[in-house]
Amino acid sequence: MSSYKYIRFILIVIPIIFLGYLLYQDFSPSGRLVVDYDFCSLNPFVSVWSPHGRVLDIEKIKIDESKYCQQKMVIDPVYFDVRLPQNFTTARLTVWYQKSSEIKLQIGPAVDLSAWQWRLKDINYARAEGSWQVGIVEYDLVGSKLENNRLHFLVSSHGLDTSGQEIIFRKIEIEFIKEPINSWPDLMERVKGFILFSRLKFLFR
Amino acid sequence: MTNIFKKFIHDIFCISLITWLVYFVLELLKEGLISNYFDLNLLLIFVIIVGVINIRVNYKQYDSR
Repeated sequence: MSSYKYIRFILIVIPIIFLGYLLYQDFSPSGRLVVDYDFCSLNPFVSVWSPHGRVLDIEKIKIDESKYCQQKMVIDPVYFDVRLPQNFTTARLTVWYQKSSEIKLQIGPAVDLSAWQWRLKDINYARAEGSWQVGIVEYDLVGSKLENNRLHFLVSSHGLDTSGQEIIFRKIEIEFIKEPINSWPDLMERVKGFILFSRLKFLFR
Repeated sequence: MTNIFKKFIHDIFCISLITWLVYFVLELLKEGLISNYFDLNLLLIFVIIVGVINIRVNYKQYDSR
């Protein structure tokens, strides 16, 4: 029977350790957070693309042994947002897509939604992966205003609807970067940022 | 052995219920803290199933019908 208390101790410690792991993930002490959305299933960080009608239903494709999902954009602009646990200074976006060369594609985060200001950048071909084009672009997020801890993105392709063409997206990956925790002041600053992103932010007002 | 099993089920139920409540409150305080990495609904289903087993195992003797 005395050995049972060890079992009870383990049962109590497991959720505490798991909570510590979740807090560590949310804190991002390394200063890096990578989120990706492959359109196959709902993602806790990245929202679905909207409005529906400008993007078509998600298609599940199976070719030989490979399975993937894709979504077509037929009218611009299209929006999605990313839920962030804290502020970051830089975002590196990688997007897998298919389009014809005469169609322009721009993606960018909101700087100030109330003023409808966006930091759009051209998505240019960086490399190919099979039949997919891959574009990589970096954004400076300093000064970007989040709304309810969400960073809004706009996907633009001017003239897409009149051209009758479409852009097919397979996956997006966004790496958010900030200074890693190197010292106690950094840790204090990170804790403050953590609280400012919670309902306890009134403590700092 | 039966007594240990009964204690185990009772403890599993209590610990998982308290864990779910704590995680739920933390999720309310900071959206995404738990849900970005773990689906709380799965833990809730587990709590309910273990709760039913706990009632059957530990409180069956109070059913006088």
